[in-house]
Amino acid sequence: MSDADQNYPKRNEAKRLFAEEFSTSTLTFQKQDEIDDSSSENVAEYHLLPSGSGANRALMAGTLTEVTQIKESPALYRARVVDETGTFYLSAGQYNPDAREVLRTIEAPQHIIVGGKLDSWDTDDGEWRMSLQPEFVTAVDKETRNRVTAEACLHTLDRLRDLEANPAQDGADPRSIYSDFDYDEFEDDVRSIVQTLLDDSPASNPPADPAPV
Amino acid sequence: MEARTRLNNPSSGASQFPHDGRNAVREFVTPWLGWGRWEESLRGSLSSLEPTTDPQDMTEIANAAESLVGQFDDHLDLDAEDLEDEMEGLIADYSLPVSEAKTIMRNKLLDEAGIDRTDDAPPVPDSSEFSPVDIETIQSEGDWVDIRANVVQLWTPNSSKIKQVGLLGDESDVIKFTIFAGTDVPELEKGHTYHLSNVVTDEYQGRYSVKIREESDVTIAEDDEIEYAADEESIEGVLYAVKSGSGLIKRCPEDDCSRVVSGGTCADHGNVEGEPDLRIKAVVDNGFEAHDVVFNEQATTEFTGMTLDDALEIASDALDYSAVERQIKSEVVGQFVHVSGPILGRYLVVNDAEQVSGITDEMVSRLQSEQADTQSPDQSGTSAEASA
Repeated sequence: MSDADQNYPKRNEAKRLFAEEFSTSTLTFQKQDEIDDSSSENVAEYHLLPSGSGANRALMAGTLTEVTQIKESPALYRARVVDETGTFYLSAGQYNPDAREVLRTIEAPQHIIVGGKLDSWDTDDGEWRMSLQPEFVTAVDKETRNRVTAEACLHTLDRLRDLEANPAQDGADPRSIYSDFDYDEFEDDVRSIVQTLLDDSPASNPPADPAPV
Repeated sequence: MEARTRLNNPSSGASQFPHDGRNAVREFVTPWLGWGRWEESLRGSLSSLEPTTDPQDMTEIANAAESLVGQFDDHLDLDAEDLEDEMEGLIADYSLPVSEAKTIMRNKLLDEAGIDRTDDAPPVPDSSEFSPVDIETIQSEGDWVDIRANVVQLWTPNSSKIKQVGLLGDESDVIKFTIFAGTDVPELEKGHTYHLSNVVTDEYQGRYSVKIREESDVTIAEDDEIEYAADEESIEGVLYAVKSGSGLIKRCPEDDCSRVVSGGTCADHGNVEGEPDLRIKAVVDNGFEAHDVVFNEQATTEFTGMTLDDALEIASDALDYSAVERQIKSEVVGQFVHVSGPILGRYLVVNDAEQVSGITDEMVSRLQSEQADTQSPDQSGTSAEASA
């Protein structure tokens, strides 16, 4: 009985992502052990990130610039969000009632943070596009947005280092799969965001002895 | 015979008569070994048609008799050999394993001594000495044990029948404790170490707890310093979700039952008038791990400012209990929080919750060390290497 208690399905964490990386993560996979363990059809889908790991959920931040209702009944809203690296889209329908309600009433422009599931769909011209199916959307102040941005910087740089150290994660090297993705430019982008955050930060004076992590 | 079987079914709540916890597991297991051996000896001695008692069983019978004599020392003048003979007789006549024979003997002696053989019977300690067990070894219900423990956490009882409820911890683990209203047991104070003699173990959904009862001895032990098991954790991240079953809930008011009442029905006690309670079941996500956390009434009020009375008012204005959950959800989801508390099952039980706003100093220094990495290319390894 107590053993059964230990076997809760593990909830997938929300990876901290930037639009640039998110938009590229079109390749999906399922985990073999989860297929084997699952008694239901409902096996989580992961998107392979250019930086390596698989993401089922993401937490992202940005400025919401536009909301469009693209379907009447059931209502479906799409929102465009711009972060420091590019643009990403949310779409909230009947299965995302809380987020849909926020999008219905929110006024753009607005700083938001959004947590949701990665989703991809192919366009008529055969291209894959990414969107985030929000589990929550919250209007926030600049400080909270920066917090998520800072986490995205730190976690992304960590992932890039892991990729360097251990290229073939989950059986595939994302660098050969996403051959068009410019890894050097992406890392430069993230580092310049780090600098911007530090310049904005009230505690930006460099410490005499830089604290190792 | 039937009655005895029921009494000794370890999953039956009716069998909580005094028991020595340290032997309970062994007693439960050995009878079956005894049976097997016995079957063999039966087959080996068909000619006699009389089961010969296994020598190992003989030893056990002798031990059982000794222990019974000791237990009833204060009450009855007993002779171990008489008890042994009587138990052997029981075993031969009724085909019983040793532990059953011992139970029957003990019940008979309890009757003889005029001790009420119910849940309320005083424990029959092996000795009056305080002999604590490690909390992690508590793995069965209805045992009388001694523990030494630090009061890790106190919760607001959600029933008027409960005087105090909380968590006790020693070096091995933490365990929930309950003191029922109407008992003389002093309330425990958080942070103090206690020596608790003769507390009774209990089980619910695979999780064990102890009840501190009238018969228990509670001694404060200032000198006994306990670093309780580091099962306390903290997590900082975004409050990603508020799960259903949050907000205003109703709990079963029956003794020692705090199950959530759903549709006016308790799974154990049927139709009951539930007592309102307030809680938040949430997910805190730090990007590497999504952790289930639960805020009890007190923690909910401290975190959201909403009291149980506020919640009742919101529910009655909306004519809807779930209005409370919706309001909490809209207020807390997307906030950054730092929560800490002990781990119980899948949940971190929130002791302290703080809102975190913006980028912490710790994050600033990590961001700085990222920049330091790029500025000195020869340190371009991981930050761990750079700091080594």
